Amino acid sequence: MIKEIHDLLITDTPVVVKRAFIPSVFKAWFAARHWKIRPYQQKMVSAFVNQQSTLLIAPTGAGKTLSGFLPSLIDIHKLLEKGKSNKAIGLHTLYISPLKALTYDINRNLEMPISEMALGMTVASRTGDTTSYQRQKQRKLPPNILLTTPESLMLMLSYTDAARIFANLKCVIVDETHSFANSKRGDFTSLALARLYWLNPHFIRVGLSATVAHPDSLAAWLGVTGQPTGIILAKSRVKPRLKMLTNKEYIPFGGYMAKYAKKEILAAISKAGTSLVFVNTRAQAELIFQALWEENSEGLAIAIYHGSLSKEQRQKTEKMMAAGKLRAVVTTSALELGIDWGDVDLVIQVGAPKGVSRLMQRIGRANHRMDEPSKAYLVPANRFESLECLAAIKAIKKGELDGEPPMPGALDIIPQFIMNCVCSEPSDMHSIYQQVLNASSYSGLDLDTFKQLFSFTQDGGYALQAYERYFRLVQDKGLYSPANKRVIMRHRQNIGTIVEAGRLKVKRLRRSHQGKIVGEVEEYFAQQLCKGDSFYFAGEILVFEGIRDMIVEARPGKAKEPKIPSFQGGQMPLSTYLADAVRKLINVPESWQELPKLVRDWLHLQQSFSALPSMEKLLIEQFPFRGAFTTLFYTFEGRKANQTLGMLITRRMENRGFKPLSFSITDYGLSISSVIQIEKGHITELFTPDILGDELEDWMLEASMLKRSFRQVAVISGLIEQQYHSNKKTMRQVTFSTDLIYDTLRQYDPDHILLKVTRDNAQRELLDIERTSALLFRYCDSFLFNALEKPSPMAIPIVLSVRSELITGAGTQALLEQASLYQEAELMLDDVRALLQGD
Amino acid sequence: MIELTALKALLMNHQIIPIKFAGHRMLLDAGGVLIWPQQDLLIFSDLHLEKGSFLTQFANPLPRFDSKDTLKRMQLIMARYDCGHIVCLGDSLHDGNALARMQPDDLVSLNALVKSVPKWTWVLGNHDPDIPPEILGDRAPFLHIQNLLLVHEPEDINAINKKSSLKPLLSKEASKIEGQIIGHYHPKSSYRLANRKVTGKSFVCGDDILLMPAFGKYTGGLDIKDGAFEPLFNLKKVLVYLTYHHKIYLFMSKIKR
Repeated sequence: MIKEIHDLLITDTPVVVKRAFIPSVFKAWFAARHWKIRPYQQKMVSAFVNQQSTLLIAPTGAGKTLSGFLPSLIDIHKLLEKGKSNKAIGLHTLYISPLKALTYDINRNLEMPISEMALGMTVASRTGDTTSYQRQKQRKLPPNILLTTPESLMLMLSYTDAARIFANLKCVIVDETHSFANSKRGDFTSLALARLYWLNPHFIRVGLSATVAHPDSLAAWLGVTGQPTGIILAKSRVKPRLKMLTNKEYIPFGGYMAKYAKKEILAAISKAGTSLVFVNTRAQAELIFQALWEENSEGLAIAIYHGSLSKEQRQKTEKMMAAGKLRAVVTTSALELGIDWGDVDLVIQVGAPKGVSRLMQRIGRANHRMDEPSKAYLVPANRFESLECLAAIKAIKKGELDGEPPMPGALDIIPQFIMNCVCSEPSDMHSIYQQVLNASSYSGLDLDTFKQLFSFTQDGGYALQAYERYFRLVQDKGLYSPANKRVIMRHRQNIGTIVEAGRLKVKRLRRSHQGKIVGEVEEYFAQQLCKGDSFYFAGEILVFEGIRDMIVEARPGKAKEPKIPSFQGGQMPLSTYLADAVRKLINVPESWQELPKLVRDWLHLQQSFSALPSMEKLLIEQFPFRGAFTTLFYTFEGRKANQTLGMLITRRMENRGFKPLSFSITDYGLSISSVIQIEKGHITELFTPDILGDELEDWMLEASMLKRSFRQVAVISGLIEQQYHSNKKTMRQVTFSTDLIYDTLRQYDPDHILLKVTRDNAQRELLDIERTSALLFRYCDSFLFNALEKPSPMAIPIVLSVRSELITGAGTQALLEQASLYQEAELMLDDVRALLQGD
Repeated sequence: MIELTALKALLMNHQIIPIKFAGHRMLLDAGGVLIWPQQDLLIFSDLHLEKGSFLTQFANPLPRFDSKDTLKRMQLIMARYDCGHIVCLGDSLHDGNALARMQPDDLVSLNALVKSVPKWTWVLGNHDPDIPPEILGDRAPFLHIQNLLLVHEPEDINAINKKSSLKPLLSKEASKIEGQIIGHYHPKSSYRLANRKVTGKSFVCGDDILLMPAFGKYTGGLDIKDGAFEPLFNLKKVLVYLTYHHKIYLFMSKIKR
């Protein structure tokens, strides 16, 4: 955990009143390791002594975690010296980590200084895996330092004795603070902090973060009611060494799997000591892992690690990596966060980096020392991505980072929080509202919306109610409490469904229905599978058997290639910063020199075949593709804006009889496939600000995407239980989808709060109306329409994108009609005639 | 009964499909109902009224508008075909206590529907072995019309035909049962188009058995490939009619099995 650090620049010193005193036992311990207490570590101790909440921003390898714990270790040490018992000190410091695995890691790492200095304080970790015996023990006699996750913390806060457990709390450390920004888990965590503050306001908040674009907004997130904490910034002077790595002979036009460069990647792994191979999706991880092993004649120890794999499998890989037994691990964002993996010499990013800050994080995994430059290769999966790689490399050289502005908190978590409060103690509505306002993500929440969410939590909050209502909360003199034990139990089981929403376990069958759970897939993916379909999972090919009791059953298959090429896991959005950078890059041919020759050729080809997307005019291409017609808009506005535009345009196409089939989006463009061919004259009626008109709301609400958003909202807000009825086999045929509830609500209670929450949720995660309308207004009169005989060079990577949004409507029906036995049905008309004439 | 021109329009628009079952001409409507014109008969199956309010009792704050919606759709379909005899093929109420939770105006609409036709039969199912007297209409454990048995859960036809003890229960017009129309299973099926999977509630039609999809709003489906269907029919020998967005389709060979 602790490494030598040199060359640190400290800025933004908070005003310090009291002088911090470092006890001799700590000084001696540092000295024995030939370490010096760094200036920013000293500052962290001062901030604690002065009861100042602080955000420490430092690159990986700066000994961030020790800096975070040092003040607490010193304070508890002093208290023990004064003769206070562990029990009297109670729970002094609470450490919150986004990852379970991180809490174990920190637990191990804290043991070293504590035992070596004989400090005598108690440390324990508490996560979903902690046994109920240990939980009980921790509840009775809390450790001085408790390491936990946001979900486990929320569960503890739902206990009736929560106030007692946290009565002595002095410090809360939020590790990897940057990973909480702009996420539902971040909102969830900020609510947990607000609840802690309500129970006991006498603790300070310490955030530990990687380098971010907007330290101020992160400090505001961490602070009470959005009051920013102090910031301590430690910068590294060395810049990472970055290079693009491709195959010299061939770079594919499309696809995201980068298998073409497997030889080059393997050669790089072979040269380095230990490498981390980062990919963007789990499907990529599976494929790259397979591809590397196909080439791996040396038998280098290469492993795979991603969030869908089972806990056992991941732990095995973690141990082997820590023991230095592996040469490379192929991984997704699951390894981005700070677990200490020992010495990594090289990071290989396969596929487009998607964001500069994320890329920095990943690169930081190499060479856990601040003073030495990290070494990293970027492997673009197709020619388009090489543009993105170059743009990212340039940004890092210039020291620029990207970050999205903060968003208001997600509303679907509020009912969970309300329930959590009343489970702990009977509460009145206004005090809960006050607590919600104290969470920085929710400081702008209006009382009306809160009241509606409260009423939903209480009894569903429906406009038309039966005379005999069913209450989840009961009221007594203005104080609300859960109606019965079942309500409490159900709530506690559902805390933290945020991360797991919509995932199914995968069982690898040996015989009949027996087998081992090997991991999880998205429900969305599982629903697409038919019996006999094969897919890559956990490094092998599995054949789908069926879904039984909410578990995907699959047996190992013999086929060489899977039928279903990929599953969508952990799609990452491109940062708007990078999208802009790519568009600029295309428009400045002088900068192409740094691109591989193949890519330059491709750009020239695009120029002569169609045109290059420019800043002044929106390029629209139209061509036949796969039995339908594709229209492609090069917007460069990012996934969300393209998604919004796709929904709006296809809705209009549906109304005008163009029979749209599906649309797919990438970060750069939107492609729509339709039965009817779009012509230049049509564009003015499709690509126009009109489509943002009054019907927008209706259009949005009907989209299948909104239904997915509703599903998430329904689970998180507690409308339905996840795995509803999963344990009752006889009920299987009567489990129904949330789509039905959604339709019913829209029809009979269109103002219901959950519909508002669904819209908000879609706006947060899927849509960007603002950018879409800006785009429409800017380009509705200035576009370049190219009708082509086949996809242009630049179109290929976009139309090959697997993720497409299906349109349920005339298009699909048209296809069904083609496929169904229409002829026969017509013959049957005679039958009908006979039938009506009394036959 | 419905006019020929209207029927033709429905057919051309994929909203109905005519079938032959056990020697009888019938119509399958994309709304999930079966019409037997010769008998002036319309069949709904598995209404599961008040399922929403049933679930709210278990701390699921679901919207309870499902009965309202189911009744509304029933009314629309009844108006379309104007049949004299309506049969609900069991599981019409979700549970024994459903009536107590039903909103008064919903009960009024339900009884108005019953009164609007000359004959209404509630075939009883496992969810509703007793239908409270507040709800109008006849009750029957099954209906026997010509050579067909209309029943909620499938019966062993051969055993009934053989056992003379059961004969008195059956109507006299025809003694031999050659087929049965059943509910209970909520069949659904999927069809793989080029790059998408279309799933919908489905009718399954074999030589001597016809499975009805569930009509109730909050009813899900059981995939016809599920093992529960194995004793009932051989997938290779039945026709599957898939309903999707108010339309109904027959696929002969390409249903994924």
